[in-house]
Amino acid sequence: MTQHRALLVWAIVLAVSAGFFLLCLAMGEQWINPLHASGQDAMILWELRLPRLLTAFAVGGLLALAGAWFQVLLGNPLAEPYVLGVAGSASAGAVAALMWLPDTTWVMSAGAFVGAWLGIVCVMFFARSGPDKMLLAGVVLAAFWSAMLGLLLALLPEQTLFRAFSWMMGDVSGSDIPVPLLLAIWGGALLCGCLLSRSLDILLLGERHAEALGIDVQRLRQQLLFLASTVTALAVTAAGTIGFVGLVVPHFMRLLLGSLHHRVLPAAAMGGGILLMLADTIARTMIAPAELPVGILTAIIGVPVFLFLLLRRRS
Amino acid sequence: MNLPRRIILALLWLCMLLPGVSHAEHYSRILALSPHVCEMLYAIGAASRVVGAVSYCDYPADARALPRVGSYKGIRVEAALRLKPDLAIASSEHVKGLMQLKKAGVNIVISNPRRFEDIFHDMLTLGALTGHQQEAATLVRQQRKRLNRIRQHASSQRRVFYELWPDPLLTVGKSGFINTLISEAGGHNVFAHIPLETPRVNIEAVIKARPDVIIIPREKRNIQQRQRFWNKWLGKQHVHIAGVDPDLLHRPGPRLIDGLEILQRILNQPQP
Amino acid sequence: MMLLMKLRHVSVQRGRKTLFSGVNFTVTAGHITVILGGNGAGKSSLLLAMAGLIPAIGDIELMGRPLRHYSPRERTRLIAWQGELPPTAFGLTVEQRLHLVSNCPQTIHHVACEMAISHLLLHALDQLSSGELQRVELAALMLRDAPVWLLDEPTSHLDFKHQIRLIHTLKHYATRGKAIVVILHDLQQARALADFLILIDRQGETRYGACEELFNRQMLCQTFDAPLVEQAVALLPDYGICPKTGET
Repeated sequence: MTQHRALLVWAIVLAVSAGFFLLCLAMGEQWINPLHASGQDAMILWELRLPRLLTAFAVGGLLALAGAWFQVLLGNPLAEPYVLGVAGSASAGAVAALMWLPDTTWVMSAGAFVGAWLGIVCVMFFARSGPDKMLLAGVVLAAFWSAMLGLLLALLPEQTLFRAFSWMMGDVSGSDIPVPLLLAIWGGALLCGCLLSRSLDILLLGERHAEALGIDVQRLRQQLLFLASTVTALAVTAAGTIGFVGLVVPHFMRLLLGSLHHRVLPAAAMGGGILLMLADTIARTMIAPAELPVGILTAIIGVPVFLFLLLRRRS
Repeated sequence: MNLPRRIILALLWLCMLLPGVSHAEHYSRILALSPHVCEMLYAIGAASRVVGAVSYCDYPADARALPRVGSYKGIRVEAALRLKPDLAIASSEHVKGLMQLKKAGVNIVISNPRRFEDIFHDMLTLGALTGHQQEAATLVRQQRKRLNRIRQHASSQRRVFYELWPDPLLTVGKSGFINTLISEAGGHNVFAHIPLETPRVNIEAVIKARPDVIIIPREKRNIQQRQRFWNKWLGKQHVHIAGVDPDLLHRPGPRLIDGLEILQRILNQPQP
Repeated sequence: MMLLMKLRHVSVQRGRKTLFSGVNFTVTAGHITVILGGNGAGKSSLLLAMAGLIPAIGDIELMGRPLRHYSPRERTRLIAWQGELPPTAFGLTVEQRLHLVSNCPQTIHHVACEMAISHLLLHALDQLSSGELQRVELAALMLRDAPVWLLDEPTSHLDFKHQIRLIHTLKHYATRGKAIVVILHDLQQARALADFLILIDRQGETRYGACEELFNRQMLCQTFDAPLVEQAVALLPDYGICPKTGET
């Protein structure tokens, strides 16, 4: 009975995702039917829209997964992937790369990746001292990185500012990580998450109880921090800083499906992907032919949803 | 009151009405706080009166030796005041630090031309402020002649995409003066209807707009690579891609007319 | 009588302070050991050390092997620990929480009846009162098939009815062979449950012995550093027969 229901739910989720995917693919400067496209239309569809859409999907899914992990890791359902300052350090890294190295997307991605890891290593020092100290350290580090970012932006030459700002608001169109690799990372991250899902469930009871149930909490925390941070770093590298996906999606999935991670994680990976795909489609069509940065859109969608959830939680 | 005294008083009164312009002693320690201002001052022969500039004031080559007192982000007030300026010419009142200069007693003139007429007007004003009215008038006369010649040229009505920046893909919309330049040169900016100065656009939108000419400022990018990119999407035989010196098109100064002539030459090249 | 745990010269450090002098005792199947002592004496720390959750000084043996040689998983199979209430922020339901310790629906159903939480199974943890939550935690402990139970103030948050029921339940499980070590604050409950007592006084002195040996006014006054009087007319909850003395 429950088996059947779960299958049904998954069938619906997949059908809806596929529908959204085709819709996003068809929408653009002009409507192109993905099933009957030829000539330049086909080229636009497969070379312009598809990679961008898949990048958005993978990045959204990665952010949602990382968000779910950070929430368990920090014992706080309102945590998100950038809470430990990874976004700040990645931005600082990207802008530093822009300033001192030749100006290409590749250099910026590399800078972001190095920056993200620098931020993660700083936080790792606090991994052993429990969620509260780690969160506090993360918040302070985030402030530090944003100051560094401010400093670098003040020194950045004028022409490069466009790129820096566009990157900081999130952009899934110019990723330098190949799309198949991104999708593989998405799958790998989801698999790791599912393998850990029971340990994650137990960790919801707090460290003491988890340890009493035979979980090596220190090791799990380190694995989780490593995994969540790697995924965040990759997402930031691929698409800049895109807020709220990692916060809202896991939270929403928990409300919808309960807290057990073997359900929440796949749902978040799919849901985050679909959300970012939709947001990016809106971003590129809403004021066409001009385009909006996708990070602004996720914030516009994410903030009211989040506040609504917050109000509901209290009652 | 006798007549000569009256005349003197009237003149004094006039002086108060038009501060600077009919100043008996012309300004001689000028801060050029925008590249186009710097170029104008050099073009009207007032180079010796410029004592300081901001970053990007790099033309003519002599201007590079000027002390720098700031950048596009703002003026370093102390460094500026150390040069004992009597006049500062900026592109906007909102340049950071400008009001402090004003409080310190430096005269402020704003030059932010949006059309050729504005450029000519500002050059004449600068001529009057520096005592180089003659040179300014001659320069403006020549430039006006060139502008008229350009305008008499048959308009090509070629569809132009101006690639201001490749990633994110930025172009020029209705409110920027590059849009004006394109129409002065006889072309038609394919994104002239967007009510923004520098909108970010989608590649698809460019493909759909089917430009005949793509103009790429030659700064910080690989023109060959951009050319390959656009040829792939728009077809090699349908689109002409040309690089231009951005300083000629992005600065509303004395060289803008050169930029306009180049632009027109590009637009009037026979279809490939 | 099966010897399950043996503690020799065990003490626990909190910061630089040693909480109590080395304590020696054994835990055997079918017996209940009650730990009594004032606040901060180290009762909970002793329990955590026995559960292997914090480091201890001295030797703790579990079934003849030093406790620290056990892997977390092996240890978990033998020792069940109940302590502070878990965080509830993530909205696990009672059923999901119980599923984390047992996969057998029948057992869950049975224990839920025993702890009177059957009607709460589908509620989220954060919708429960602390008394209900405590019962869920106790149910989670009982679901574990571990021979040693370590309980840290299991009667806290519970109302009278459930306190009394719990005392009976613990006795019942002891007769079925569980070795139970429990921290209590209520002397009547302690007396009703204890086969053995561990007293930790304010100076960190520990005493271990049979209940009838240590449960007297002088000992307890010294342990708690507080006055106690014997009074025959007090109204007491029915915790059943005391194991050794036979009185109610």
